[in-house]
Amino acid sequence: MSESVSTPDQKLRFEAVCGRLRPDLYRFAFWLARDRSVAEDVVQDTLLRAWRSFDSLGDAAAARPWLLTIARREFARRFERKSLETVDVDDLAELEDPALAAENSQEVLDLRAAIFALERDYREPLVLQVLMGYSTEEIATHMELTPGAVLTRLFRARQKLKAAVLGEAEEP
Amino acid sequence: MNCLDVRRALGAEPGRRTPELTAHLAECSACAAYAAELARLEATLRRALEVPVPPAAARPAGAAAGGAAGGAARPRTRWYALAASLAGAALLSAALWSLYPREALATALVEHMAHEPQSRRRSEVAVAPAALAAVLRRSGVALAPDAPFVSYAQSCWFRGRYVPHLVVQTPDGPMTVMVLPHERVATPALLDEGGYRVMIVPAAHGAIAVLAQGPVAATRIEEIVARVAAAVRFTG
Repeated sequence: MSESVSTPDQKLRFEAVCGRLRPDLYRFAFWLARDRSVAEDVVQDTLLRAWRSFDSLGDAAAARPWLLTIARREFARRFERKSLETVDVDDLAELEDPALAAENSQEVLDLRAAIFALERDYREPLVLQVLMGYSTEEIATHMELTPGAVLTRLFRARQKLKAAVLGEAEEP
Repeated sequence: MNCLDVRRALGAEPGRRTPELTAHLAECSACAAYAAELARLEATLRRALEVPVPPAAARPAGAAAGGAAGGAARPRTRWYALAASLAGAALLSAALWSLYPREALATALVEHMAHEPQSRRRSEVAVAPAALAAVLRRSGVALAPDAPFVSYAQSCWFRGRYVPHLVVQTPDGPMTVMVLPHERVATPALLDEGGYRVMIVPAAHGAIAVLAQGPVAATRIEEIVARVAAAVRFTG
């Protein structure tokens, strides 16, 4: 969609369709990036790209997977650009001394730290399933995996979280 | 369906119940207990994933897309409403800032902490010098070699600027250091906010904040603040 053909109606429709999804978009980007400022940038870039190609979104009900797919690409693009200039956060360990934010219990903070330490391969399908309500098939489409591979990752993700939080050994 | 099959199915899709799985849970107390434990984890997991959404990311999508779309076609009333609301917010923010500048800064710092919980861990591994230098350089800052041991460094978007977010290891545990060249404080202050002790001091250019968790003595925080302040160089 170009600047010259945009109309107030289109802008209102864009806000109605995409605006309500902004918190979801931010949380998805945050858990991809594990960084607030990167997540905010990804949200901005995603919405700009979504606006430019808004005409290609036929069904408003498909807006969420459409936006999350754009966000995933934006993150990949950004990661490729910034990987040489940012601190490596992939080598994250279990948090020993979690924050004591008033609104969150220690249990939540411990689990959040464990999610931070999960590899992206496990973190992303978990976020899509738990936060976004995606089915296994939808996650498979989004991540270009087989449903079987998604189920394996989801199982292992929870095993790793349980092991980190409860101190249990991972089951086979 | 044996116990292993059931646990794999529950671990992958905790909310899904096939007749076979339901029948197994009815007969196997160990798997039923496993399912109950997983259900508790699932509830906590959802809360853990629902990180707070910052106001900038919660505002209407048009605020992001509208800029690219241009303002010509935007209804005039919307522009006026937006301008009025922004002016109102700016006035309110300015009023709050003038009344409680250090408290507002401390609150913003503690809110920022919630987004990087992985940073505040004990560590004996220092940030690579090149990575640390890159983070500092982005904000026009450098650190002298006698600075405290830095285990984490990230360039963070904070109140409209990228600033160095560091974690230094101390005998009292990890402490967070935020170098804030664009902030102005008149005098040093120690504030207790959200489980943190936040010390904010004026620097040659801007301010430096050190955040410690829990009941750390003020004198111990002051020592770290003094060491950091002595080591920070504003180059930008």
